[in-house]
Amino acid sequence: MRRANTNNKNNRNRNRNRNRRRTRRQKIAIASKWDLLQTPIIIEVISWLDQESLMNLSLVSKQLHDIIATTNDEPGNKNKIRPVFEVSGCSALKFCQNLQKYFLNKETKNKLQRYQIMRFKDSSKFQGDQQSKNKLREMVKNVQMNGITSLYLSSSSSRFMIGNDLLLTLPNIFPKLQELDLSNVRNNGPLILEQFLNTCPLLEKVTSNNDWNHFRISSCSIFVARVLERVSIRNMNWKFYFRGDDDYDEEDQKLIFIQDALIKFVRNAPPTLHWFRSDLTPDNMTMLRMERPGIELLN
Amino acid sequence: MDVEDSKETAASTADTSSSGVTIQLISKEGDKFPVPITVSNMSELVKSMMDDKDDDDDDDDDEDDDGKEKITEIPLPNVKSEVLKKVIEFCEHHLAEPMTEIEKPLKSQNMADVVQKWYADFVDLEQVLLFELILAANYMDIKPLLDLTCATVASMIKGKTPDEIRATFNITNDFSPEEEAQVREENKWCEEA
Repeated sequence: MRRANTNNKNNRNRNRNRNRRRTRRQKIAIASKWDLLQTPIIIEVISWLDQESLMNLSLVSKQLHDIIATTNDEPGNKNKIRPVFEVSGCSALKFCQNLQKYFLNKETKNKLQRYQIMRFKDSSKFQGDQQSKNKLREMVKNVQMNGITSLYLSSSSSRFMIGNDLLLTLPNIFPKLQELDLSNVRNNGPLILEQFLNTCPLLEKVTSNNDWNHFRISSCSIFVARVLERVSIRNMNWKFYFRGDDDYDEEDQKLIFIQDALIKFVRNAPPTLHWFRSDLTPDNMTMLRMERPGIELLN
Repeated sequence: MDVEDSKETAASTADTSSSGVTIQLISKEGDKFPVPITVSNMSELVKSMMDDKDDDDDDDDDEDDDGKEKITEIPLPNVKSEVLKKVIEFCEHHLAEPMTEIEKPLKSQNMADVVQKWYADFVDLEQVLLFELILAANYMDIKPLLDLTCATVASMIKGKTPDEIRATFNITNDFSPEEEAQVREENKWCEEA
């Protein structure tokens, strides 16, 4: 890491010295060279950039902005600017109030439809209370940002729990959501996830490092009904309620139950599912591979 | 001018080539660079020109009237000698140590982090030459060289503010403050809640 930084520093110094040494004529030559780069070459350069750099480049000149804006509409171009709606602060109430206000204005309402990513700079600051859930929902009942397909809720600290009121309200605002990132976010996992899954029919990717081990089997059934492509429920903790009148001992019963549930899950999985990591036994995986060859089974 | 040196380098490589077939690449200035066909074939342009020549010379012998091996000449009027020398250097090295694929989007501002050291050093050039190399790679249709050079320009953009990018490439800001604010808002809406 230190070596990389030193290299960067040396490169910067070298470039600085080079810039100082350049004569006026050389500078003009460089400028004209940049102008000479044909649009396909600039598009090629653009294809190597990340979103942040792409956005910064679009602010450099009208020519570059136009090239980036034009390529944005080309079907083959994979490196498009995905406009971001970035939220900072700490008040879920103010966030919803502002959205409500924006949607009362037709021009702003239309403008907001262009954003594809909603990113909370530090979602752990949004600590609400359960009571305000209905109030927030009422506020944003007419708010739908149909352009948003990705929601990133990052947190600088996993000490604080994001208010459920906000998390339970967000799914209603983004009906076209496809991707949800809850990394490093402490929340009431299953409850929140179920809300998103029930409200956003296009949701296909959920990222989280939460302790969702107590995910109920009913939640697995919800997964099955979705267009999810990758599911991992390995090392899941299962809760059992035994009547105590069976012949098998508890450990055997647990094993049978878990394997039955997982087999049922794979058998009923939608065609979109192609990757599933779980605690299936090798024998059961072999059997299921023959039944569902399109699903990569791992444990 | 070090064209002569490069000619010697290229010629010596040509002599040691296993294929034995040598192509003369002719630069804008008319300088001749003999290279093995394995090197010149990295250029899709040269390759297709060779194919065309082969079609034309279908009935001809591979040797001229004096019995000497015929050397095919490929004119590259858009490529300066200085640039062509670098192109040949790249192609020769690529045959010995192929360039690893550079990941998109670029993961670092430092090219040495994303590609082998030789290639990172190779593109540590003055901007004018780097841009001419891009144009040559594009014209001669050499994809790995185009990837490397374009990725290098991208590495000079990565992590910089618009002002820093303008300063790096000496580009004039032709946005009015209002227009710039509008583009900023189009890209990113900053909401304080």
